[in-house]
Amino acid sequence: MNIIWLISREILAWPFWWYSYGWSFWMKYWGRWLKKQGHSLALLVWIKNIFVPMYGQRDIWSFIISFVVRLVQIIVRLAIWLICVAVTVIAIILWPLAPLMIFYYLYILYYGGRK
Amino acid sequence: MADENKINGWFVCENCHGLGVDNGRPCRNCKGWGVGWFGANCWFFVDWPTRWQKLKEKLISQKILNILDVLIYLAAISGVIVIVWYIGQATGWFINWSAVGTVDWWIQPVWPLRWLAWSVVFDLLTVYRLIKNSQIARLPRWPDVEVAMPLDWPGVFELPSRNKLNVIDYLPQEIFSSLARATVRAGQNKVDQVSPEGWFGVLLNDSLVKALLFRLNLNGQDIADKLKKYEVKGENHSLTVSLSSEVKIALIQGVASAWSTNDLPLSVDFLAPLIHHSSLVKEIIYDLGAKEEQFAAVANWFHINRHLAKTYKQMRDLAQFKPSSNMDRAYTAKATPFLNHYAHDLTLAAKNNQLPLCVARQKELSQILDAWSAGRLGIILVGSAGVGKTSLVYGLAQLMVEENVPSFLQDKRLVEVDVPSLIGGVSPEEAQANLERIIVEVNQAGNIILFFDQVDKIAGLTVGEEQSLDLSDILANALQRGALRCITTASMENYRKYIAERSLGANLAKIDVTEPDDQQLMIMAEHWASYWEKRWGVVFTYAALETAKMVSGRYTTEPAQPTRLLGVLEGSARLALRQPGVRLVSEAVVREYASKEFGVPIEQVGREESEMLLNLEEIIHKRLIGQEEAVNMVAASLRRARVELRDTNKPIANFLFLGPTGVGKTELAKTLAEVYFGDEEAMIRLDMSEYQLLGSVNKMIGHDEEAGYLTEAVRQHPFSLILLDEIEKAHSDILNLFLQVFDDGRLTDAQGRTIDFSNTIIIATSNAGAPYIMEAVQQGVDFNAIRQHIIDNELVQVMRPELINRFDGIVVFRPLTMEDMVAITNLQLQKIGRQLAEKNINFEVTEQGLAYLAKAGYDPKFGARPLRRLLQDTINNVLAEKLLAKELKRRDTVIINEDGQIEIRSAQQL
Repeated sequence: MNIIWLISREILAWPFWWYSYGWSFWMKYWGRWLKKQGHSLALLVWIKNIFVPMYGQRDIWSFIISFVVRLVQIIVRLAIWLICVAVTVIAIILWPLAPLMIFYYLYILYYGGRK
Repeated sequence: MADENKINGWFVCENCHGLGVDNGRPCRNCKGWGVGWFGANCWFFVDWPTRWQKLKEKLISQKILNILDVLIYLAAISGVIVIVWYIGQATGWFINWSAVGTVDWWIQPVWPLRWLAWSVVFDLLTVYRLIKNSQIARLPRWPDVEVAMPLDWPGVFELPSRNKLNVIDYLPQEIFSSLARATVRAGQNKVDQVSPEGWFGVLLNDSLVKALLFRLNLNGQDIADKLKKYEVKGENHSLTVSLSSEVKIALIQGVASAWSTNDLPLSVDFLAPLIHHSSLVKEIIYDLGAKEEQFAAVANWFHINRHLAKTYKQMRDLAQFKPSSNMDRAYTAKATPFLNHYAHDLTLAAKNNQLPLCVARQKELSQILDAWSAGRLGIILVGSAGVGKTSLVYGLAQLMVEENVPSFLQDKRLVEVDVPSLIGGVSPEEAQANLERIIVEVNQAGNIILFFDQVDKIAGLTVGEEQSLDLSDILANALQRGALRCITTASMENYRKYIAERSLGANLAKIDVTEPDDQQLMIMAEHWASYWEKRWGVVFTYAALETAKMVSGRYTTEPAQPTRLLGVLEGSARLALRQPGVRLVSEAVVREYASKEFGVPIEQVGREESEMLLNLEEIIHKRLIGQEEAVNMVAASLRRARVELRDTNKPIANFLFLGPTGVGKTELAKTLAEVYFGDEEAMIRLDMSEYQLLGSVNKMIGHDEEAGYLTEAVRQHPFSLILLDEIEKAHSDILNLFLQVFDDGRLTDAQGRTIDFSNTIIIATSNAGAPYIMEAVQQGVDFNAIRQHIIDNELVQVMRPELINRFDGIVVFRPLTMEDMVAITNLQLQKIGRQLAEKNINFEVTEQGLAYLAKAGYDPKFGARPLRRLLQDTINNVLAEKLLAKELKRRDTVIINEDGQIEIRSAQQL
């Protein structure tokens, strides 16, 4: 009997785990991913250097061209970063919804589907 | 209180003797803990479930769960297969997709869709099981509240709960399971406690433990079989089994030692503590040729590998962010086309994983960073060739890739200037222009750190009028102006000669790179062994690493460590590659490689060789007649040396041979060279009468740029016999040099190099007291008395007592008797006989002829020396003439008649 209890306890703990430790694990995972993307995009480095000319060219035209290129870079990188944020948010929200969605789907398939 | 039994923070309850159980109930004195340890501001204890039946159920349920997991994974993927098949059906095998494009299609109450939905449920369950099973044990959160060490058990109970750690809560699953299995086995054997042998026996089935045993060249089954013979069966019918105090101590020690290196405990961490607490296991493993310390060392090796793998992965992760071009991340740097032509980017090479990992050099790396942080712009790493200067720079490049460096190095490139291509094939003026152009580019780019390997190469190149401008001055000026940051290397001699006194020397912060110590060397060996294991599929035993460290330290001196050690390891691994089957780099393989490489016998003594060593006297007597005392002494010292029962910081042996000329002193030295070093030419012979003057020391150890005769010879042939002929004739300063050699086995030459004499045999000969020996022998004085007289009276007149006392043995050679002379003559004639046999000519010696030659070849003053001359004149010369005149032909017989003359008996014509 004890063995059956030990095994079922593991399986029954699943829903509790899903909405506690599991979710926090998921959030940390996506948090790390977002941080890595942020580092890779180096948005702050581009913003900090917005007025610094590129390739060490210090004439007036280089200043202007650099500023424009950097501005475009910042806009594009910001857009990519926002997409990453959106992906993270969706992933984090999907986690608690996933079991509900799949059980609702099962409900439809058994009781509410088209005959 | 009776329970105060504390040593180094260890508490063992005296009431229950560490068991935690007293009369079947938890001990009241220690609250059932039995044993505990206070260290690192924490109380470590073991709270282990004692009901073994429950543990058995837990183990069974774990097994069932493992099977269930597989079923869950299968159910999870089955949905994909079903839905692909179902969609295939609906779309006419993926042609008409519109059929499945509606919501209605997806909510049909049909079994394939229901299967799909259930499989998704199993997918979620799989995620749960996978994440949960991958949750390895964690490190404890160390308490920040400092508490005083408790004095007794009540003091322990009063500690705050966050300062108490139950090590069981932090055990990785496989270690918990092995302990549970040991408990269950004890319960089934009806014993009331888990013994160290019991747990050790169970651990033998662990895969990591098997890997450890393999590295120690041990067979787990052998140990298990021996342990089984001593397995205890008891009469205990209770439901509880406790851990013995030794097992609890081993548990705490294993866990605490892993935590002290900031790593999780591994199953192998508990082996050494268990062996320590079990005399039975200790005896078994000692019998099998292993030691307790080796278990601890290999466990440590596993931790080092885990740490290196972790560091490596971390570096690879961070390397993704390092730019792949020569630009910085903000694109503010200026391109450096000219520099790129003469240089290559080390940070880029590190990013692309092309540089070897730099290990166990944290101290030097932080010295480099500290010197730059302190405002110095140039750094020079000074050390002997092979000590790892370049490797340190590679280590710096790796740190820069991780960006694990101070801010002034972040987002920068470390670029190595190829000095030979910068200065080669151009005039000094062009070289100067090139260097100046590079400095300008580096200054403008602003994101470059330069590396000049062997910077001394650019020193001394002058431009214009004599000595007007040195290339190194250009670099020095740039550093002074703050135009660049650089790191350079040079050997000790070249630093002294070309850098120290110039302005470049003043502008470079000097960091000495010394040979790694034993512990660092072992870490490096372990790291490199793992590298070759991955690369070539060989497997190193721990003894192989220890032996490689030993032979690289003892049998060679150049280049510096760790290069020698790495050379031995790599060479041994290559040798093992030629083996069929498991390519095991064992101690024997390392010894075989080193014997070939260094030309000395360092293989383990084989059966043939042990026979040879045991019969050494006989072998020597095949070449040398008489002189029993000398031969015995020399043979005994060789046997000691070969089984390594000698002081390895001194020469293998040093003898003083005394006696008249021509009695076999030099011949014994030659025989020794042949027997021990495999060649009678492995001898450095010094006629000490050439070193009589005051300046002779220079001749011996060198001066200025010139190498010394002795030091250079030993440096190039460290495995040699050194013969010091007529030592008493040398200047007293020379003799002082040898005092140091005899004591330390080392000598420093004029170039500052330490020459190792620990692999030499030194034999000094002297004629001191020779006339006395002759006279005393004729008078029939006892030979021991003669020997004592010579040492006490004759020798002290020519040599200082401290030198005399440092010889391992002083041997007085006897004057030759007529019997000795006959035997020697016979030996020499046999040699001639062998030469004639090669030409198919027979050789006979009459007894009278032998006696005649022996007598004629003997001179009381020169011993057997005239014999060689005599044989040359009367036999060899005559034979040569007859051979040339065709008077002596194949199948003829040469006879030495009773007058010692040659007769020829012609063979019959065929």
